[in-house]
Amino acid sequence: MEKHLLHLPTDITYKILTQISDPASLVHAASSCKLWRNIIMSSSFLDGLKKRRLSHGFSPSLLLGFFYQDNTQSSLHLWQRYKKKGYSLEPGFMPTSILLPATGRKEGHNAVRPLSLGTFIEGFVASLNFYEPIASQNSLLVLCHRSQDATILDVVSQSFRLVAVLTTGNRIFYSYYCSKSRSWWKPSTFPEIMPGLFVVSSSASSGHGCIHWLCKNLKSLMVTHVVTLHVDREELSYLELPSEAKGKKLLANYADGGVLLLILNDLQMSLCKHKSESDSDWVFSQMINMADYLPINTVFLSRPKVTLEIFQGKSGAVVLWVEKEGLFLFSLSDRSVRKLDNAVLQRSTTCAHMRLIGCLA
Amino acid sequence: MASAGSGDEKAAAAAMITLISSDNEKFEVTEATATLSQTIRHMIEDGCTDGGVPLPNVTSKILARVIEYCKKHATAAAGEEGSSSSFSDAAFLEVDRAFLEELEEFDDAFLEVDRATLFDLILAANYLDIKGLLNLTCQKVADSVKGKTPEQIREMYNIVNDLTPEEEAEIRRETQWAFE
Repeated sequence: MEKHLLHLPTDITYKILTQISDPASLVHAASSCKLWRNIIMSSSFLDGLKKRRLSHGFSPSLLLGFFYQDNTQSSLHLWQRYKKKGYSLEPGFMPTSILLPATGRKEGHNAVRPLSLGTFIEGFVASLNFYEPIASQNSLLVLCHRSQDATILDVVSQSFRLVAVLTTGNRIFYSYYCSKSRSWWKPSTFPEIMPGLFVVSSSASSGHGCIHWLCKNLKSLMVTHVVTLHVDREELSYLELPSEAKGKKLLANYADGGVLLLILNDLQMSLCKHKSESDSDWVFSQMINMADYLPINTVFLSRPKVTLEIFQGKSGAVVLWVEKEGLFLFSLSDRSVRKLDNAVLQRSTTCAHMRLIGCLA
Repeated sequence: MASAGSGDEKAAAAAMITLISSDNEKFEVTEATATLSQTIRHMIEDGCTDGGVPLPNVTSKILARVIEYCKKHATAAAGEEGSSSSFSDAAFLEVDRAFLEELEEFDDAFLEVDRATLFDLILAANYLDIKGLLNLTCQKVADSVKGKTPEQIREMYNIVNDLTPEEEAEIRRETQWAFE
């Protein structure tokens, strides 16, 4: 009789399944037969999955991908209905697992059919037309309303919380909606930002009930602090950035609740961790020379201008824009680089109304 | 530990080990090649390799392939040791990179086998405890699942769907995103 995959010893089957890196494939494998399902669904397998991820500090997400908006996709009646109120349309979602690697192996092209946000949040489709996702982590998604409010959507076990945030000059206004009580709630006073600083509103990062922003000094116009809004405690806290941190910066949340700061100085990327509120020290944890990872032509033939676009701390995903080359997805966990050369994303960068707007991790 | 008792270094380096497959075929290999297998390494350390090492779980066809892998990777391991002591300049790194590429090509070509052979290689790598080979062959199977639907996976590996419709529905409900 021919040797059969299921006749392999269980520990080998286990090993094979642990080597499946793409989460969608893992789910498919779990749906193919009982033996595999039981192995994958077992707590030891799932714990192992977590542990492997923790060893490098990042956990590639099961759901990492891009939101983008494409006005050609919307139905006519939605378009007409909301035309007066706003310009935003429901964002589509595209998992990174369908993107092709920039270098190396031949892999088949998959037909790209982006998911709709409604896939994740049932019954929300119509109202999502006013929002664009700007940051996310775990089950937390920051959406920005076209009228400048940032909204956090916390989708945890059927209930969620929306936090609407508006930053103006030195104040942060916010209110939140709880799906359990079905009501909006507004704090009596709004926290004021430390004098001499102002919030860089595009730098929002959220997680663990907090929203972080980078702050610039009013005089020097340099990024000097991180301000954190603790939504439940209704207060702000500040973190001073290390003085040696020079370059373009992006913020993200860390798995254990700390803050991660990614700095790009020319082609040198460095990563700083700030673990807890009580501790005032930043720790430089990784220095990466991007010249080693970006395509050779890009790096040596021209000195490319590289900018940081998106940083998802927990999953370790960084999106970089390389001048004349396009967008690249760099994974801090395994240092892989993938070019986002997908047709949809390309269109989204060339057309004003289709935007690459975020990552869901 | 390795030099214990042995006075003649050269003799030790050139020491040959005889491996005997399940169908009684004999293979002469160098100790460096054989010791990629932890199982054989332990036997050598215990001094029980005189008269050959019987491997009743491995056929001559598979053993020949395994030895081919070990030979290639044993030279790779030796090369790495040599490089750290003698060279460290850019020119050498270039050579090093070329060698690693060659090794990768070898691995790719090595894996171009039918499924039954691949499973036999996995079992042999497991039994002989050759970490690199086990990783390589398991990764090949793991990669083959990538991007396939559950139906395609079953078809590819002759797996009978023994999930109840309820169980299938449950998985789909919990992980709808993976099926979109």
